[in-house]
This record gives sequence, structure tokens and C-alpha cells, in this order.
Amino acid sequence: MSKDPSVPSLSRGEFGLLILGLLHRREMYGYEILSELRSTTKGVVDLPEGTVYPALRRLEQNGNVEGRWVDQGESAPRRRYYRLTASGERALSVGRDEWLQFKMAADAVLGGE
Amino acid sequence: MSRWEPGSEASNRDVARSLRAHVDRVLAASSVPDGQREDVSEELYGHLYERWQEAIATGLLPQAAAASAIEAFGTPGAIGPQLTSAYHSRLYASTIGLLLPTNTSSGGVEGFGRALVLLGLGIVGQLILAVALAILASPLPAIAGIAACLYGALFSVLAIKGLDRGQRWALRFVQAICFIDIVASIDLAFASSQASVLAVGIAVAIDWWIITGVRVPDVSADESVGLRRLATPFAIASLVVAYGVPVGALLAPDPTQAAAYDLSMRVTANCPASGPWSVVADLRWSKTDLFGGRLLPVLNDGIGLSVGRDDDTAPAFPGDAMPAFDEDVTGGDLVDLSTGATIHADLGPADEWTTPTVFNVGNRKFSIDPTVMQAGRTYETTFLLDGASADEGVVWGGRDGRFRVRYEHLGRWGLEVIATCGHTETAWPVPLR
Repeated sequence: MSKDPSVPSLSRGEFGLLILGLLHRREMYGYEILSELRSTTKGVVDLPEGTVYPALRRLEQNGNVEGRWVDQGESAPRRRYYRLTASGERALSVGRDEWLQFKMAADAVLGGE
Repeated sequence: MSRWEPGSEASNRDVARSLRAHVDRVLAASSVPDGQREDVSEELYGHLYERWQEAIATGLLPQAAAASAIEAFGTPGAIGPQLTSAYHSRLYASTIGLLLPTNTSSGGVEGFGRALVLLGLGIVGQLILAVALAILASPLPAIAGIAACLYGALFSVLAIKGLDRGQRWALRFVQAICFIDIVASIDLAFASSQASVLAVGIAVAIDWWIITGVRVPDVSADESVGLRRLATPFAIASLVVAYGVPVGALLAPDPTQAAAYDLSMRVTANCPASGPWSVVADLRWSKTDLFGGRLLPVLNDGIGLSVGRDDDTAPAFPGDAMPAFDEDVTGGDLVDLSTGATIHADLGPADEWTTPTVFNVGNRKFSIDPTVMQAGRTYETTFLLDGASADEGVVWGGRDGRFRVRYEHLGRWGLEVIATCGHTETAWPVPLR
């Protein structure tokens, strides 16, 4: 099991790992990440919307993602898009393995397939 | 980077202000670094704006859509601390992060300079008090008091930063200092002369000037967020600790140290017609100091024994010169009567500090290591007054051969006895001079 605190872990109750998983697909901004999270999980993961930004900023502080501002013209505020860094890719890989181990362990106890 | 604002429609501008106000409240409940605040603010606002637009698209009116966006976003108490922990350690987020959120309230702090002077003087006072404790108090209370002083000084620095950010707890901290100062000044006025009443009046006026002159912007909503509602009680409790512990360390008895009733001292003066005169002191401790001396041994009032004539010209303790024959004083070593072991005493000039245990005889000083003395044992020390024999004995013992022997312990308590030639007397507790 990973002990690196910069690696997000579902077993530690963070949803940073889910954000890394979504950003692995493509570059996204905060609101889009939430929408994608809702639709992908069919509403199972539905946290207060504001919590995505502390998670994103923490991932950015840890070097797992990097953000850039994109202007939306005169009609709307700018958006801050995030994408995975190489470090984020590694963290996702480690976190995913950790999650799979945890899932298998939980399945073994709870009788899942 | 300038903030994006919606178009000119008045209602939209009102909604934009309400969304912006929610972002400000979230930031006020967090401790985002200054260099990141504008960036985070813009991102949060952009989210609320998009959520608001989406809610309008579902058929809600603009105000209702804004309320929906704000509710879905989360409260400042929920989001603010998470933002803090994104930039700081958990320890910081759960302590200083609660006291120093990034307040975005505008208008500044009225009378900040007055409060700065007060808190600055408070910091200087705390540092002076810490030095005084190191010099005056016994080790354990001194360490506790110094720790409280340093805590108080650091908390005052925190209060300066908090006040600069418009935090109400910092204002209460300043007002509490003034209140305590006023109460202490009035108390002093009742117990002092007319001359000091003027000084007390000036102090009270200055405190009142600060209390009435310092104002922070209205951030009362921010003060009720999560654990921050405890900020003001915590600040007041810190003030009590910062001033109460050092004062207690100076005034309260220290259970780790010996008291006057823990030492029994019996003194015998021997004044033979031929041969040297001597003063013999037996010291028996029922309890000794757990920690000897003080943290800073700069005062020559450690543990000491003085021997002088019992008349008006007797030298004052400690270290004052006897009138004559100081070069003829010998002895001073302690003998453990239960083992016969001798504890050597170093002989030196009275103005030279060596160890905390000092025996002053005339202007000679006999110093020993205090930690070798143990409770339950009797130690005997003999001072030979060689020059006091025969014709000149009157200089030492007075015309009736009476010696005043005085023991003082770290300036805290003392024992004294009048020893007459040929008799043994027991010392009794006396107030210190």
C-alpha cells in the first residue's frame, strides 16, 4: 500500500483520485469535472460542489495536475483548466492499484465478485 | 488581474455581487496565501456563475438561481477549511489557520497604529518578564513562566497580523489587554500615593483611547464559521495564560523547592581565651530543592550564610565586608556527619559568583555544590576566625561576644540566630531584607 501522502487515496476518503481519473481522459475545468463525476458515477458521488476546488488546489500543490486559464470572451468569466502531469499519471497508477487491492479485500470480506 | 463582471443589467449585477460575496465569505473562512487568493476567487466565482446560468436555463428566476448555486456550492464553514488545508499543513490548518483566515473585508482597521503600539509594548513587556523570571524564580516555575511569556509574545504577533486582516478576535484581545490594564491601574491607585494617581490616570486614559479608537470592519458573519467561533474565547484564554502563569510563577510557592521549615540550623559560637574563635553551623534538611539555583545566576543572593556581630555595625547580608580580619577567615567546608565525608567549599572574593550555594563570612565567600546535600542528613560547617582570637576578638563578636548568623535561600526565605559564646542556639525563620 502506498504511504506517499501526495498520492490521493479513496481509502483515505479523498476524491482526488477520482479527479485524477477524470483528468486522465482529457483536460477539464472544475465545473466540468463535477458534471462528469456526477454523470460517470450516476450521481453516486455527489459532494458539495465547492469541495472540488480544494481538492484541485491540493493536487496542484502536490504537482499532480497543472492549471491554466482560458478566456471565455466577454460573455463569461474565465475558466481554469487542469491536466495531469507526469507525476499525476504516476500517482493515478499507484492510487488505482491501491484501490483495486482495497476493492479485492473488501470483496473478499463482503462477498463481492 | 481584473475581475470579470456581468453585463449592465442591474439585476444581474446584484446577483453577481451576491455570488461574489459568497466567494468572499468562503475565502474569509480560509487561509489561502495572498499570492493565490485572487486566482482562487476568480475560479470559485466562475463556478458559481456557470451554475447560476445553468439554473436559469432550467427556468428559475435569477435570484432563485443564485440561491440555488450558492446552496449547492457549500457553506464557508465547509469549504474554507478545506482550502486552508490545501495550502498548509494539518497542524497549521487546525490552529493558526483558524485565527488568520484571509479576510477580504474592505475598509481597513481604524486605529491600527494605536493597537500596534499597545501590542508592541506588550511583547517587549513579556520579554522583560521572561528575563526577570530567569533571574528571580526557581527553575521549574521559571521555565513555565518563560514559556507562557514567549507564548504571549508570539500570540501578540499573531494578534497584530489578525488585526491587520480585520479579525474580531484580535480586537477583543487588544480590548482585553486594555481592560486588564485599567483594572490593575485602578487597583494600584487605591494602594498608592497621590503622585502615582496621576500616572494611573494617564494609563487609564491611554487604555480608553485605544479601546474607543480601534475598530475592525464588520466581519461578524465570518466569526461564526466552524471552529472560528472559538477564536475570541481562545484569544482571551491565551491572554490569561500569558500574564497569569508568569505572575503565578513569581508569587506562588514552588512545591519542588525547600521552604524555611525544611531546614533546621543550629549554631554554636566558641570563643576560647586562647586559640582561634569559631562559629559552627549544623544544617539538617528534611527536604532539599529538586532543582538548585536559578536559570540565570546573575544575582549574588543564592544560598548563603552570613556571620556578623550582633550590633548596629554588623554587616548586611550578603557579601558586605566585615570590618577587619577577612584574610584570616578559614574553613567553610561541609562535613556530612553521617558519613564523615567532606564537601569542599571554594574560597573566593565575595563579589565573584561561582555556584548557587555560597557562604559569606566577612568578605570571604565559601561556595559549594548544593546538589550534594541530601535530605535527612546533617552537615556541619566551621568558620575559624583566626584573627578574632585574644585581644581582637571584640571586633568579631562584639564586646559581649554575640554573633548574628543568618542564612538566606535564593532570596525566598531566611533563618537567623543570635549565637552567644559558649552556647548553641536554633535559628528561626525571618523575613528577608
